[in-house]
Amino acid sequence: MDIHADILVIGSGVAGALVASRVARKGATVIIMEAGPRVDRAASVRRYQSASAKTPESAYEQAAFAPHPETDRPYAFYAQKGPRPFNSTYLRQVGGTTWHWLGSAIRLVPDDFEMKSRFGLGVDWPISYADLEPWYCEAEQELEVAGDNDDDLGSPRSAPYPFPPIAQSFLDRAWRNALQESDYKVRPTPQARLSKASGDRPACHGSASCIPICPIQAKYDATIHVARAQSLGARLLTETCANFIECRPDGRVEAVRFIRSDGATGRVFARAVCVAANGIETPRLLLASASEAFPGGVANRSDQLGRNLMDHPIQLSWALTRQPVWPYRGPGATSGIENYRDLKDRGANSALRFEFGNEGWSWPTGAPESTARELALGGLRGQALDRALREQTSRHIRVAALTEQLPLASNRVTLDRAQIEKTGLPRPAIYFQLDRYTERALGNAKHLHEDMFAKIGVEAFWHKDDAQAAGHIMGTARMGDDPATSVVDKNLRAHAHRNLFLVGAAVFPTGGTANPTLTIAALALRAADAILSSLTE
Amino acid sequence: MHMRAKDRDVSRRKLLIGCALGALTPCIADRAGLAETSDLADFLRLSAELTGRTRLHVDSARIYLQSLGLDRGALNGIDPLHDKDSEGLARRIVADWYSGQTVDSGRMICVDYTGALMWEAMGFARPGGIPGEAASWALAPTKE
Repeated sequence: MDIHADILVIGSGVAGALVASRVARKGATVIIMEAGPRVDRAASVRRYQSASAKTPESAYEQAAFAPHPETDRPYAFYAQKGPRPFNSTYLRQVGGTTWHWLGSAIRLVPDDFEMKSRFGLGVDWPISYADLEPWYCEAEQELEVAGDNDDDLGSPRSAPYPFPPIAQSFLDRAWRNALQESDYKVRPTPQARLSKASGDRPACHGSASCIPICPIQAKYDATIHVARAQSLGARLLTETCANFIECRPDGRVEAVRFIRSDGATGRVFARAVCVAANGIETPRLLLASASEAFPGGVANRSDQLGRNLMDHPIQLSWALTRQPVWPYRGPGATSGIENYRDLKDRGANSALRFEFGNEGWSWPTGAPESTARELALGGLRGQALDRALREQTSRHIRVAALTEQLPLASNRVTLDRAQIEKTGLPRPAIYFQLDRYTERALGNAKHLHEDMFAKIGVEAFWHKDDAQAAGHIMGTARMGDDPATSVVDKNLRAHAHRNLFLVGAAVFPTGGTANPTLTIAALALRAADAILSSLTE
Repeated sequence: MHMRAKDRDVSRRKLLIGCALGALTPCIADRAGLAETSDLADFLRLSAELTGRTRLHVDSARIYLQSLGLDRGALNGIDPLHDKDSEGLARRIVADWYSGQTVDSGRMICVDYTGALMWEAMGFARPGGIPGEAASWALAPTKE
């Protein structure tokens, strides 16, 4: 089966969906290729509610054809090759991982783009914050971000947020009141969830399940732009996995081979190809496309493809406050501390982003279920149990510190050719470790959390001993001006492959501490123009 | 007055458990089914005593009972409120109903998340995945 189009987009997450929507609007013929299936929202909500561990993937069916990694089974999908398991996960389905993202839509700060020149660490981006700023504004429009225009989060803005802010939680205000005389500035988080109805989507009604699923689609997910692209003529191929990129000797992509879940195979011939398959799947496909002309894989003359894998390793801490703060209600997180993301001593100490969860202890302990069991197994019952349960769960708080992980060439995605998936792709093999910079950041975060706990007033607190995965998979196809040290240029065009573009967090040279989705979106919108321009070359 | 109210509660409880037991009748088709139904009825009565709740789902009860791995008839005659030997069993039954979870073959499983008794006890939160009132999370719950 041969298919022809102007542009092939591989992956239907936020990056791919935005590119597809944007180029389809300009009249290009577009194919969106997605390895996974469409998702039934109502069935997924039921699956989440029936799951014993409410992990990010718990709402979604595991597909035999194109499986996804799972938080509670870190060795099941990835071939773990390093000293510690890599445990950030993603979804392979229409809409990608935006199904279970939190919805925080935060910009990087200007210094994040200049880590090398300002702090002597990592690398600089080939673009500045000012270069990306107009695209952040467009991304906020597309994702209908709700934010507070009066609040300076350290990322200068040239346009207002399209939607008024989401209400901060009661719990946020308890934090804000407790910390207002300190250096910790508690701010409402810009979020891609509706603060008022838009189109056929309702405003957020606080379903308390952003991760793994919003039951009413008040939280943005990429199915919105997939549908928009389709309405503009794009063709969506589901359960269709790209498994080899054919290149001419001059580097131009000739065709992309695919296989469908029913075993049918074919090729797509497109004038431009955009790989938008996330920080694991993008290098996986390109590495699996090694040929005589490109023995290290497509777009890998620099040997940087798959390297510099980064996350935002998290220090997770939780506590029992003295006064009720009424958690387990509302969006997953509505406030954070942003002023530690822009520290002036980042050469020595990592920036930190503190996120306050509204979901009590569900992440660290599996509460409220675990609390109910503990109290009941301790012998309480009847009214005494009811009272204790209410009295304890109403005081559950948690804080997560996202740390900056510097790019290390040794942290990388390769292929485990001993395990071949039904798609024909080898399983991703991961080597992952934390360096002293990140380890120190995690330690610093513990101390700062304890300081915050002292200020809000707690009876007890706890820390996770090990870093938690953030699900922010970055760096494995870094952008840069020098083809010898990077994979794509500043327009996200692959060096040596004129009609191949890579979008998504894989292209981040460094990761800062902002949740990456808004930056992914801004870069994708920027790249869409370059992709369209490439059609006339 | 207090006694009369209590009597009324007990009568209502009997009625509701009776309704639940009525749902079991299709199981009473043979001797094995009869024994199973009798165990389930014992378990439901015991659960109602222990939790003070009468609206208990039969389907969940069946799973909680099965997870205990008891012999047939083991629950017959147990008085969990006064029998110290069955205290561990009683605690486990309460834990299962409140959390909506149980341990099956050494693994925690979810039986009834939205129907777990903890939500009613907490009083200020709903199960995840169920929309509430917009921006209500900004305020203290009305039922403080």
